[in-house]
Amino acid sequence: MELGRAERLFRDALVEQPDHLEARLRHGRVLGDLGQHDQAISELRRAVADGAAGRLLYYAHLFLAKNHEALGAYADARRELERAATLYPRAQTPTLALSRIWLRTGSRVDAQRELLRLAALPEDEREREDPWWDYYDLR
Amino acid sequence: MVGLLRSPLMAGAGLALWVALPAAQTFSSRIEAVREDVLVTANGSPLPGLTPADFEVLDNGVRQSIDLASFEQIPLNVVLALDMSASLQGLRLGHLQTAGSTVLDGLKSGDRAALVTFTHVVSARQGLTDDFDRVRAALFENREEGMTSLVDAAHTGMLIGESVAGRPLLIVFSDGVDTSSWLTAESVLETARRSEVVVYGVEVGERRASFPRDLAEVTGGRLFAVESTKDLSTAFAKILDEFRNRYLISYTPRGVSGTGWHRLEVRVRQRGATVKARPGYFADEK
Repeated sequence: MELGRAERLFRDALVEQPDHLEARLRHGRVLGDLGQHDQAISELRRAVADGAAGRLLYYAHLFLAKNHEALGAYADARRELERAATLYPRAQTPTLALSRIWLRTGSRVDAQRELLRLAALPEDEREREDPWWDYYDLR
Repeated sequence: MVGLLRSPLMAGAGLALWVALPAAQTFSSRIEAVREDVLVTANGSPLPGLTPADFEVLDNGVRQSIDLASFEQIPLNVVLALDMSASLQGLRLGHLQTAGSTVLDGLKSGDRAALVTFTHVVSARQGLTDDFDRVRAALFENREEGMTSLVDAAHTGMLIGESVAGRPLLIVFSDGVDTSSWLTAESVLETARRSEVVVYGVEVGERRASFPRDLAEVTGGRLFAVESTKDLSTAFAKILDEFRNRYLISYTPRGVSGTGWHRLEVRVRQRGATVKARPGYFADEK
């Protein structure tokens, strides 16, 4: 019920401010959580096309990957995660998500390769940078 | 057919993460031998001395002929995935580190150990190794506080457990609920259903999440709930002892379809005995 309400609020906000990239991104995310994956992908792609950059672009790639995965489009999902990893190479989330997709598609070799990527990340949190950790911070 | 690779990524990082790369996958229209890790207890204690004739295995309801039921001391691959989030500091952290060290003390020649620590940061600190001092050193390193990525860490621990051929055990400890994972509990439970890793969960404190219990259940493991971190060493030692006293049963499925989910039922003939095994497995086309 809360997700439905959130979806309506974001949708209403975008009527008022159609160029609000963060609202569109979060709207896309909520649509995905509601199981409306095609609509989510459309919304997220629009956020990218409208100029999402930095953290917002990273989130867009993550959420696009999640929705592609839900639709069984694993190659598309992997492509989005690689884009996210390129944006933030010291982030763990794309690597974890990629390993999960490789396992899902039966390739344990590739999943183990992602494990190596994870193990190669700095152990010191201050040297890592993963915007996913801040997604729920409202600033 | 299985090679060991030392990743160039590790060069200069001071880590040796050995990964076994399986041989290239080929298509097969039949299921290969199924191996299941089974705990049999009577009056709360492991029941030794059982033979293949004592077991009954049903695969999707079809009785199977068991090739092997081994109680031998097969080398273990033990992965510790330990919550180091903000609430685990000071004395409580010390209890946890001591508990991890207790597991390492209980390992034998041929066994391997690995360490994953997590806050919101998941650190694959040490891959499977027979150098237990190395794992112990990683266990006692200083680390930052943070949130809790329990689900992500459990996924990582299972991956490590399967990275080297052997008998994998994952011990997952947390004192709270997940607050920062990307992976969902359901996706990791699905991974677990397809994995050979047996997961034992250990929880402490008031807050209880269903994920650790569910993860143990789908892998044929158990959840230990302790009152205090002072009890962690005892719990970890019990887990190791119990895992060593599990049977490894093997059979080649016959009379069942080749792919998809297979419901597994494992029984023993002894009255009063309790059997703990994973509820099934996935047979994939390769």
